Amino acid sequence: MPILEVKNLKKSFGASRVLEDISLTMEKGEVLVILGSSGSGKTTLLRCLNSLETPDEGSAAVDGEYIFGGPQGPDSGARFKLGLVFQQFNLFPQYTALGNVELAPNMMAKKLPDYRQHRRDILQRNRAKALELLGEVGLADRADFYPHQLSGGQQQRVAIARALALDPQILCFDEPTSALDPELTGEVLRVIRELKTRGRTMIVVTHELEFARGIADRVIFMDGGVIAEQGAPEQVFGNPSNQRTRAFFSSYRR
Amino acid sequence: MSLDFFLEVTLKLLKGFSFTAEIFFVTLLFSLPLGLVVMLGSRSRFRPVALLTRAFVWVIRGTPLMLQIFIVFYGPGLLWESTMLPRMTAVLVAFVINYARYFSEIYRGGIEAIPRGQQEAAQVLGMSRAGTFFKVTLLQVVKRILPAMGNEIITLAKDTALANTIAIKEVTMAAKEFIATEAVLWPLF
Ligand SMILES: Nc1ncnc2c1ncn2[C@@H]1O[C@H](COP(=O)(O)OP(=O)(O)O)[C@@H](O)[C@H]1O
Ligand SMILES: [Mg+2]
Repeated sequence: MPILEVKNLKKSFGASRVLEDISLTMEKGEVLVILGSSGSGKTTLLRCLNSLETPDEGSAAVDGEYIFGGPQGPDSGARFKLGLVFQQFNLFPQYTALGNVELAPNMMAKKLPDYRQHRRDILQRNRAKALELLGEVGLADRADFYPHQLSGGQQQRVAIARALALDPQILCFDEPTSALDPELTGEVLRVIRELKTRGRTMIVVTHELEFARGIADRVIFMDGGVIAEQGAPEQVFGNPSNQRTRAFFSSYRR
Repeated sequence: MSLDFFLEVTLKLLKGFSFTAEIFFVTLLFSLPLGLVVMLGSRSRFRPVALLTRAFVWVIRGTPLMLQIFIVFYGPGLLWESTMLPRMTAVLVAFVINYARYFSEIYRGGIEAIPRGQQEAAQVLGMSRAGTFFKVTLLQVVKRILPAMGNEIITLAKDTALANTIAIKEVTMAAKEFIATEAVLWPLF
């Protein structure tokens, strides 16, 4: 069974049709890279999958459970099986790096039936896990720093650790390095590459073509709200069949 | 000038001051929470409520406080020939309404200044709306609005002098009376 199955997803804003009939599937452990020029609908697709936008039509299911468009209606809880890393990090400024990572798990823990009896153990476990995740993104020594004390690259790595804290089955990235100075993109891309070696299932929207080619198991090229081309990275990068894909690459390669 | 006379003047001034202080504190006590209600109303996703509160804010904002005091004080009598509100009550009602709208706009500015991305991040992390408000938004809003709140409270302290337009005996009014009847200037200083 595919880990993600999107069928006939459509989304308009007023009169402008931003996503027209998007269908795709992903296997567990796969890294899907989405390319496309600005305005082609990449962000809207990720936002629909993460329930930040309400699609007009179509369905999406993670691990067999519907996020939207399913027979049992919206919000079965399946939407928390996805995580999203934003272009602008969106950290909570009044919390430390550690606080940012453990906030959501701690709030979620309050819903556990045995929260009251085991409060200390649960919080301790969440903290240990948050510290471990910060270690994974190379920020163990920055746990007590506030976002404004961190560089953009460090902030984005905290955001990645924060997204991982809820064990999403699929982690989505929306141009994770576009807001960064060029010298800071490397550290973030390195963390994402490492996640791949650990078998994470990921959807990555990026304009870093070299990085994309290296990390992708499959590439989708979007144009005007449709999937114009998809395939293995060697094929899409090496020998694109679509005219728009070729134009896109040639505009980036000079 | 006898000591008795000095004491008498000082007492009357103090009495006036107690009116000023009462207006000041009662206004704060009621307008701070009422402002919150107005702000929530104007941001309501239920259209009629949002439109109604915004209209209210627009009207209060477009008219001077003095006029509002007059309307609250004389209005009920003129419209329904009911007995006039006690002067103090009329002043308090007008002040509370007026300042509730100031505070509501300060609150709203504070909330809207927080980048939307934070709420979206919280939402994707599965945090509830209420949880997000208390754990993420509230503290930032408080920090952001404190300077504006300080300014508004100072303005309120000055505005209490307006109350003398309908002859509530507050400090300046009491002082003026003395100047008029006793022809001395010092109580004002
Ligand atoms: N909330 C919105 N309201 C109206 N139009 C929007 C909104 N979000 C995106 N769009 C439009 O949808 C199109 C696709 O946007 P987006 O998904 O951000 O593309 P990309 O991420 O590929 O650059 C753009 O033309 C954009 O102007
Ligand atoms: Mg985008």
